[in-house]
Amino acid sequence: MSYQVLARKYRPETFQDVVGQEHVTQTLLNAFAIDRIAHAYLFAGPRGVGKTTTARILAKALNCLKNDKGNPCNSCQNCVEISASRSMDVLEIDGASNRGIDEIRNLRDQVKYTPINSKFRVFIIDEVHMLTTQAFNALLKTLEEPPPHVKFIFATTEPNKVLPTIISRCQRYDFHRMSEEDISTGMEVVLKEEKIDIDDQTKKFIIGLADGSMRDALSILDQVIAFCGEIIEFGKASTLLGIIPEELYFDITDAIKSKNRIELIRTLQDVYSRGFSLPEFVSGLNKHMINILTCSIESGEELLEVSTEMTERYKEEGQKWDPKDILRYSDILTELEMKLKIVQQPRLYTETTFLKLLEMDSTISITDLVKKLSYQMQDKIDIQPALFSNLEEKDSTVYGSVPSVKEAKPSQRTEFKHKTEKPIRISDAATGTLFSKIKNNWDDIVSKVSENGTSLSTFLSHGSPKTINGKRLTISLPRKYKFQIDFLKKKASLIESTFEKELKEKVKIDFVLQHDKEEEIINNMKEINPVTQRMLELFGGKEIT
Amino acid sequence: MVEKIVMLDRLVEQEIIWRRIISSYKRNRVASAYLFYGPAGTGKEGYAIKFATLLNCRKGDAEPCGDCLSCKKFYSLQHPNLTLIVPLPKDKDITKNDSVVKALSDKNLKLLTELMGKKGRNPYSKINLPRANRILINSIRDLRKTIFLKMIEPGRKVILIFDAHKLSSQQGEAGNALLKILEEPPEDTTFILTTDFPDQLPETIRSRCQSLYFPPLPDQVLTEYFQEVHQKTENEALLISHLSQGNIRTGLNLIKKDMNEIFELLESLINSVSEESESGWRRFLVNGSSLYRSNPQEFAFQLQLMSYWFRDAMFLAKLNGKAQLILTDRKEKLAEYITRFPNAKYPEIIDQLETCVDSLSRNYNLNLVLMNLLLDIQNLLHGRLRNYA
Repeated sequence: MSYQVLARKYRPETFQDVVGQEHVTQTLLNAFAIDRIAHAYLFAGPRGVGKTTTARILAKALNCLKNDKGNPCNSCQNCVEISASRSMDVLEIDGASNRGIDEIRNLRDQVKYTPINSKFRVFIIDEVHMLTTQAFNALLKTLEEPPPHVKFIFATTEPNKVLPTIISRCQRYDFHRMSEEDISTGMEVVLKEEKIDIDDQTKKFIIGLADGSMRDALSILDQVIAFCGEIIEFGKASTLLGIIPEELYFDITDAIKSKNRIELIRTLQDVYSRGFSLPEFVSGLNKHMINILTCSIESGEELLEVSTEMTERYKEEGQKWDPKDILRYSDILTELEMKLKIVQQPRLYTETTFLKLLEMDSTISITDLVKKLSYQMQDKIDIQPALFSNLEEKDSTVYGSVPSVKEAKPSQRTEFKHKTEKPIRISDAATGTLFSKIKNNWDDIVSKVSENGTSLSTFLSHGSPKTINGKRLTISLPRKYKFQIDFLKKKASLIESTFEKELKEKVKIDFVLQHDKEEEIINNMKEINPVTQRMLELFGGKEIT
Repeated sequence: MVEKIVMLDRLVEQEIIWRRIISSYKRNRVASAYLFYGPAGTGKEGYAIKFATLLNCRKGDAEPCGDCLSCKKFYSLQHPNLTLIVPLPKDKDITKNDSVVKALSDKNLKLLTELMGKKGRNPYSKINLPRANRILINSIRDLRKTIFLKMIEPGRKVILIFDAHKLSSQQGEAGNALLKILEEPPEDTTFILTTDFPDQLPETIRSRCQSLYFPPLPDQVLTEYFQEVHQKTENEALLISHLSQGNIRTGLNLIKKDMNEIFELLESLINSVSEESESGWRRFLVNGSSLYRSNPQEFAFQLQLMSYWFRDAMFLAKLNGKAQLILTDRKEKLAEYITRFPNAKYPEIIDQLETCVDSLSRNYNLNLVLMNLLLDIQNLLHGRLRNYA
């Protein structure tokens, strides 16, 4: 018999052999023990963790002639036939190639026939996520209520692509990514059977590369055996696997630290000319950065998965760096990793991006920045009061002065700031009180105006006092009351007399139309009547008009 | 016949890689699926063919003999044990049971045969048909029909899939359809997938393969190759190998050309994108779009040349000339150039050039892409980052 790859040769044959998925295998065994086997299963999970394998074991267990507590015997006729995939009753369908509605209709026709020489007809559909929507829908009825002799087993890496209506009809089992110990146990079995001698370092490395998948681990192991023979040493294996020496990563970080561009590019060229893959180097460097970052936090070195000797080095390195800088470098490297998957000129791209790393200034935290800036700002702020007093003289009709500003000293900066934020819109203290008097009693005054004519007070109520200059009060009205303003101007003397009565002071009134923006501001500034406010508090709701 | 034997010699040595390949052959541990990956123009496809030949060679030991009937058939890619899958355009509508050949127009079918003949003679020629953006699922369906049939000739069935990352184009139908047979092919069958972009392959495919990385070819090896095989002078060979950046295909394109012309072309390109003159821009846009339509490879090459220029400009500016330049004999011009644009953001410019290639492969509007490139280069040369918000 010709050579078979390890992953196929050592495909588990019983539930116990399936490593790292006890939550699935034990559940299935229990189901056998109490005879509660569902008619449809969905196995989901990442690549190479045992979905198809479990599906096959389950098919065998269902049809095994001497089923022993749920485990197939692997020796009876049925088991042998299924293992060699020539059983008439177990159909393994490739969902990705037979994905159309026609194939599913075909399958539905087959469902009604009873099995030939076993208990169940088992349909295993692998890569089920590739079925078309129509195909899925055509399957729904059969899947929900299949004849008693039919079992379905679906396996997929992408359960999110499977319709929810399908998932709800199946018992779903999620296979986990395998832990390092599990892969190690699985590999141990193979190594023993194949009589392979391997050192721990290589083994650990293979497990790392496998990234949670048993099949990946065995593929890599296969390759290493093919290259090194039965005795595997790290030195030889590392050249095959293209393991990048850690020294190179440290060279790069040193170069970044010392801002040595030439050294940086030289190291990169070294990586390149020694035949390492650039994308792998970049992702390795990113991992290296994360290691440094981990070490920069307190007792973070315990979390590292490197040799003790390396841990010391990382610890040292961790103290040299600002974690924030590392995070930013790592950001750029992550982006580079993504880009390297598509760029045509990986070398050029990597080189220029690395130079960009050096261009970055080191990080400053915001609080530091603010502190620094406020030192610089002090001088500038000192001249500002003068600036303001100029302004006040020019625009005194609109913007009132703030007496304290003129005397404000740098030490009183906070006070100054507070005052300028809310300028009082009057020209001097005396008129200020008058203005606030008018403002506070605005509603009263307006209602008093009604004694001279209802329409007058209605019109006036749309307006609001804007400014006061000496004895001249300006009342502004929203733009849309253009007609009303003419009316009010004609009756100004009447209104003035009411004002005089109320305020015990003579005022001259001007009416102006508001600009739209101003209107908005005034609307915002409009004080809510205390009564209304109280009502709003008590009853909720909002004010209309 | 003579030509076919030449092919062996034309393959530039990737000695380490080959040693790895034959070690599995010698130990009788040939896997059922390999993935050859690495940058473009490193001989992945050539070595895939060579390995396939070795597996079927009647007397081969560490190298295919090249003399036996089987080897000869392999070198012309006509061996019955060989199945070749490449991305193909879908010119006509086909049903799922049709052979993939039916999808091709007569013109493309002819071209395909021609390209395959060329590939047999030159391992670095590429089998790419216009608008071939994916490996069609029918190719895989065809394979499923034939793979379980008995072999006509003794040896080992080999399925070569070139540009395997195109398996995952669109919904990845082809890639998914391949999964089952890739994992459990019949006895004495080997798949060899080659790709420049392994990360675009789904994990499910990668985990089923033994991966081999093909590093870019060192300058020295390339220089020797151009000198010996193509009779170039040492200077020329050195220059070409610099320009190839480890990609022999670029180099082979260059040997037919006059070096001075290339540099003149590059300078005029750089001038038209750097100057603020409308006529220059217009020239760039018009030339670029017509060139892309007529000869996309040449267009890609021009963009590549431009990125060399910007890379060198950056190196010259940042490293005080201590680093190796690609365009060695244009140093003075480059030095002058960097003084013209002291604030230029070179990494971003190179990024834009790459984005341009990527956008075009996604069928974006050609004129818009070029215009965008031009604007970006203009902005970045003056140190302005474009505000996308």
